[in-house]
Amino acid sequence: MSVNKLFDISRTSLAAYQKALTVTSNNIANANNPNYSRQRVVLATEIPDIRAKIAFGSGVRLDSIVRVKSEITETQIRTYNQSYSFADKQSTILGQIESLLSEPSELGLSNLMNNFFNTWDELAVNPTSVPLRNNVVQTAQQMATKLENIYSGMSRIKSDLKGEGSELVEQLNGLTEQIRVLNRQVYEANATGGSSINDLLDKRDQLVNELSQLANINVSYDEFNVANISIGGVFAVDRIQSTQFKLTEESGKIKVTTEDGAASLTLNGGALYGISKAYNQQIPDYQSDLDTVATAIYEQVNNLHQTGYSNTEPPSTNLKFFDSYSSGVLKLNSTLVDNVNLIAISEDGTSGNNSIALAIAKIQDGNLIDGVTISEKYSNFVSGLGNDKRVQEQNLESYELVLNQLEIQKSEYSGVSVDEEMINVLKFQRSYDASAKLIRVADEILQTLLQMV
Amino acid sequence: MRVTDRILQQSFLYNLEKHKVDLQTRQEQITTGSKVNRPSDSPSGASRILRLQNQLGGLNTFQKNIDNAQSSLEASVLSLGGIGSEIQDILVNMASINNAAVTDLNSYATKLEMSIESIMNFANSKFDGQYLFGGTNNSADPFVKSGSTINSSSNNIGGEQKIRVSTNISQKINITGSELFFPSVKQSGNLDSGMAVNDTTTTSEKILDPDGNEYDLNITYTKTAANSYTLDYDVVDSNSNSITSSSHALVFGVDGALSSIDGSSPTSIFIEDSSTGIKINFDVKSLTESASTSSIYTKKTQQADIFKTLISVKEGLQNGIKPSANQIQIIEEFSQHVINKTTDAGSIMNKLSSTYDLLNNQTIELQELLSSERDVDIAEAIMELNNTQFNLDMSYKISSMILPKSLMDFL
Repeated sequence: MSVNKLFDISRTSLAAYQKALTVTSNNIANANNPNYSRQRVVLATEIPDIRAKIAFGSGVRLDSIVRVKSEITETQIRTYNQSYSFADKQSTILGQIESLLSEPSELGLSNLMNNFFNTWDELAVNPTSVPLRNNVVQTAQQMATKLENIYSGMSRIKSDLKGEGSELVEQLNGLTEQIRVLNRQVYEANATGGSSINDLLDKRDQLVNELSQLANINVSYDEFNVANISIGGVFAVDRIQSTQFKLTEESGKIKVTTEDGAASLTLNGGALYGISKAYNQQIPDYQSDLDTVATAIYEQVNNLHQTGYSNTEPPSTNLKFFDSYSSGVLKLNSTLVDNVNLIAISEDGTSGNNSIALAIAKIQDGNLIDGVTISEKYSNFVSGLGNDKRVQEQNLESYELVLNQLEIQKSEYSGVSVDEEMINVLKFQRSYDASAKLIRVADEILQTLLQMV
Repeated sequence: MRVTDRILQQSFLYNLEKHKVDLQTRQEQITTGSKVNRPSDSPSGASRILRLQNQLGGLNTFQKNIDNAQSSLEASVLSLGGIGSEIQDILVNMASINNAAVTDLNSYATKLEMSIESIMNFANSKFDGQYLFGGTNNSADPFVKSGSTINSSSNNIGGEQKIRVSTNISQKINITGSELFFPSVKQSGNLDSGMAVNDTTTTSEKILDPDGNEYDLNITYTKTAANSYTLDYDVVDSNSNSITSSSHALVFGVDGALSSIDGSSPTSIFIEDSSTGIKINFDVKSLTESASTSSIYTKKTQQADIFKTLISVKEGLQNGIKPSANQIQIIEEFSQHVINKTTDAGSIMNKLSSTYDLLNNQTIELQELLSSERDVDIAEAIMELNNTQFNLDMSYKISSMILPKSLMDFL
């Protein structure tokens, strides 16, 4: 065995530790990159040199660079991402709706409805008083305006949600296409013998994570580590193709379908589900509750008012107090607004009779809607909405906690520890130094030999 | 466990955010003074707050109504006092008329005319745009002078004005013109539902005209069908001549209460005859029908129209005729009636006053409930705020100590 062997071993050693230092420095550089999975060098011995049945080691080589990743944690993160994004989106939407109500405050519809009915009681004390009659009209207008604001605010949110849903579907299409491209690169790299694709896999994992925030997805990997993904039960992407989706509306409900409309997603997670649930179910339900309350006021007040007589000469009867109600718009009878003496609170046509005013004031105490009063029905709606929001907030908090724990688990397993890497730097540097020293030793040996000649 | 740098950062950020959310919540609670600022802060609490606020709004309205009603009733009591005082003067004059010479009667007539004028003014007095004794009719003065007579502008001055003083209680707040000035005959009691068709129950009452002449008011209830009767009244003079008569159909409901008179909701029947000046408010609204024996009770208030009586007395005095004993009795009864009505108004005021106190107590109780549901315990909130602030400061401190450190600092 020649002295040159020492040079060979030192050379491989220098090269291996230099590469190891490169991997370590890459780790340190990405220490704060949340999507980066730390990489670990695997060193192996070179093929030994066997002479006279004795195996001599031939040095060290860098066998592989391993990406340290826990697939179970990743799957868990994706699952909770869907739930978290859904709760987050729902919480935001419900918060917007909640803020429309201004409850519980004097500006809320509950107080305005109460004021409206109470002004009838006040009018009953002095039935011919024009200021009190004006008061009735004013409180009715305030109540109608607030009702309309809430209702139209909900409709506006609904319309915004449709726009946001379309943007999210565009985002989803972009992500699936990017994943397809990465899938192809991963496939090619794996199929042609495996150059390092760790960074591609990190990038793809990041995209899959983003995708899981949009909708409920299912991910499986084939033997070439290609990610096959379905969204809401519909094929979305593999290495060959990605499906393009679009948001459509049918009978007032939105859904996400494939571009050709052949299949639609069955959503049960992610921001898109949060949007579609609010658009298709919650907002229509809330608006229906408001309709019930407003229709009860409209019908009950009108029924009584039409039986009354106005404070005019001659007294008029069969007058409507509210002209119409439709989609949050409770319109007052305009002739009555112009001439408040047309408010018909007299039962017998005498100007001082207040029976109808008393009866209208009493509407607020009657169990008129499903066995509850109008204001109770409204406060049930308010507490129902508050409850929906609170549930989503609590879910959001608990999912956030779980996700935080999972992220910590991920960081614990895949994250870069600068301390650890610094030790590796020292370790690889010392090994590099030792290898360099060995070259010097080999060189000295060679010099010694040369001097003998 | 491997503790990476990102774990430290992430844990720190997560906890920092939690502290900040807590801090923001406490700040909002302290600055608004309310722990329920939106329904999701406490869905059931928000619902209770809305209900309590509505109840408080209702109580507030009831109290305002009572305030207004009290003022109106005070005005009524003042006017009743004025009427009572005039009537007392008239009665004093009537007493002295007996000893007066015929030549002086004219001066008594003049005094009486002024008193009549004054009573009419009181009868037409207004409060806050409404006639105190006009019932529910505000379109014209309740009493108008036409030539030498004073008539009510309408029979419809008996409308009761009611206000709600609690969710289920309405309170009458006026003394109506008809109950104060019109003679009334009120019949209550029971008609036997077991009576055969065409069976009758009769009553007879003595009534007077403004000149003090006596008449019989004969009333007959004849069963016509199940729950149905015919009410016939006949006013007969001392010579058994019928002055005025009429017939009305009564129908009782299944609960035994009178449900209709002549097909309409039960109201008083006016017995009126212009030739004699008889005007009676005949009220049978309290009659019931049940399986027990028929028994009718009659209550009379005032014998004759006070204005017509006073005018009749005045005209008599002008013609040198002293008032009859029956006429003086009519005036005396009216005087007592005014005192009774003043007492009625006073008792309504007392009732309203105690209702007001009750509403006040309810308001305080509801406000306490509302406060416990909505208001923040400031002391507790400030302590919590300080605690959260302390935790936040500690997090910053610890993070400033730990986060920047790595092995590099020691190499």
